[in-house]
Amino acid sequence: MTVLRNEIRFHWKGTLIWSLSLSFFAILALTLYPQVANYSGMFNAMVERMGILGQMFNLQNMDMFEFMNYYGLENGNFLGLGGGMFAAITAMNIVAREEGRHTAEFLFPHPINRTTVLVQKFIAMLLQILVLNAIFIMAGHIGAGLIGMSFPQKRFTDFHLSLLMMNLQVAVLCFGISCFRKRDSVVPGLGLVLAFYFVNLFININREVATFKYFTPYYYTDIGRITSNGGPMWDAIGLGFAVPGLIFILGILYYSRKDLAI
Amino acid sequence: MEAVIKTHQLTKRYRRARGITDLDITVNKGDIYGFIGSNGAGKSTTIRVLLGLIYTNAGRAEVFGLDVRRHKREILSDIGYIPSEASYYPGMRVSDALKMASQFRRRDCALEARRVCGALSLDMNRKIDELSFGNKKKLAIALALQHKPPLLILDEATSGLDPLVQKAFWDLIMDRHRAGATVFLSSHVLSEVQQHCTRAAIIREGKLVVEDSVEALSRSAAKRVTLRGCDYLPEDFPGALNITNINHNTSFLFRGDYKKLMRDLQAVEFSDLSITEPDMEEIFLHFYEKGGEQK
Repeated sequence: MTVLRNEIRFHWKGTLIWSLSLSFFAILALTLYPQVANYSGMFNAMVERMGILGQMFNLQNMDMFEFMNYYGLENGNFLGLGGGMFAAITAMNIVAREEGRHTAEFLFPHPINRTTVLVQKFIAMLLQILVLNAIFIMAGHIGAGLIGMSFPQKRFTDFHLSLLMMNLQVAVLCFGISCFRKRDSVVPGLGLVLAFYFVNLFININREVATFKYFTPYYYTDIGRITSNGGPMWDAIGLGFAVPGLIFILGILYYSRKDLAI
Repeated sequence: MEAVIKTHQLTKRYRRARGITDLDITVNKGDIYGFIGSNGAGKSTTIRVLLGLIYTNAGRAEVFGLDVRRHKREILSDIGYIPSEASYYPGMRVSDALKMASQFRRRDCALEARRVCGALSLDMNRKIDELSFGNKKKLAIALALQHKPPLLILDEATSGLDPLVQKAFWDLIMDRHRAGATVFLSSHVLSEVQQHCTRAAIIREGKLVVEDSVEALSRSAAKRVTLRGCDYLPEDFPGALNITNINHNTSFLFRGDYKKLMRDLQAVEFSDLSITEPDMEEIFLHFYEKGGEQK
């Protein structure tokens, strides 16, 4: 578990900074809820008139000022986009960094096989994502407590389970890609996250291209869809993991046989 | 003789670079083996194959009689490796890196780590990020020696070390050698190879040029002929290479029939003559620039 310990030691500060930053916005958004809710009638009327813009963010046919919907829209963006970026950055770096920063020449002359290194790095990455999600959830409860509100338990759990799956899907994909790379760069990972986000906006506008829903994890983190579905959209989640899972497996197989760039 | 390292027709091709071709070397138990070649000759490629960092296109490499591809973990347990340029994880102290390496090896190396760091005057509490290149190299030495491995693979190990530390380094290496360790040393510093190595190989453009004892290499190479009181020697003097003239002394490398040399020298003005063994530099140049005898 030496690699795992080293990864945690190396990343805990970054994880904490990301978690606290996103949590700060989560609490801030929640504390604004009572003021915003006072103008709900006006905002809902505005959304109706927003047309394609409202459609883009899937705001139609939804009372965005119902507490859980409000939380899902605001904090779904923070944890969806912010958490997705965190997952992408962490996963893109965690393997490729060894070659990019030449520490592979320190690590791999030791009696440890490459698959073991990858497994420990993967566990470290999962732990970081779990910690970020856990801190964000705690912040959500703190924020709700500050304004004297509470979340509907099942919808809150379904929503955060979907967001966690989304973060993990990005992480699994970027981890797999990282195995193929010789230099650490977060750009491809961030590009993918943004592409996923915009594909979801595109689907919201043009419902005829709904088959794209399996290409973006943002589709199944939409609070409106989760509520309509009565829980996490496991079919979309399952299919969403298919390609990242394949790239992940191929990445591990490739890494165990590749020439390490020193 | 028990071979600690043995390669057979080892070939590694890169997409854009040469790598190594049909490399056959044997390092016997107890050898201090010098592996000499210019930049890009294939020294580091060979070392990376032995460490399992890269894979070959053809041929076989064995360490301790085990195939490097199939028994990597067992082999690496008993190797100490010093890279030419060591990189470490940021934020670590010297003691953290030493502890991490010993955890990988599942051995308590604390005592030996302290002894080696002491011998090299390396403060174990220093942050690695703050260390100079030379001090990072000292850490690499401590990492390679702390588990007392039976095989040491040293890639340009003394580059960046001042002469005092180099001496301390060689004292440590010779201690390990006396305790039974085999040493594989890749180096540009030919005097180092001549001074410390028992056997050596010269690699050129990925191919082995020659492999023999340092003593035999000295014998097989050209001799250094110095003519005192001689100001001129024709450039086409039979068998003469690398002719130089300094302060009325003409010197050249010679390989050939010495009776004929004596006859040819009768036409040359000089007051004294010496024929000496060449130093490692000259052996290297002999085998390198002129191609030497291809194995």
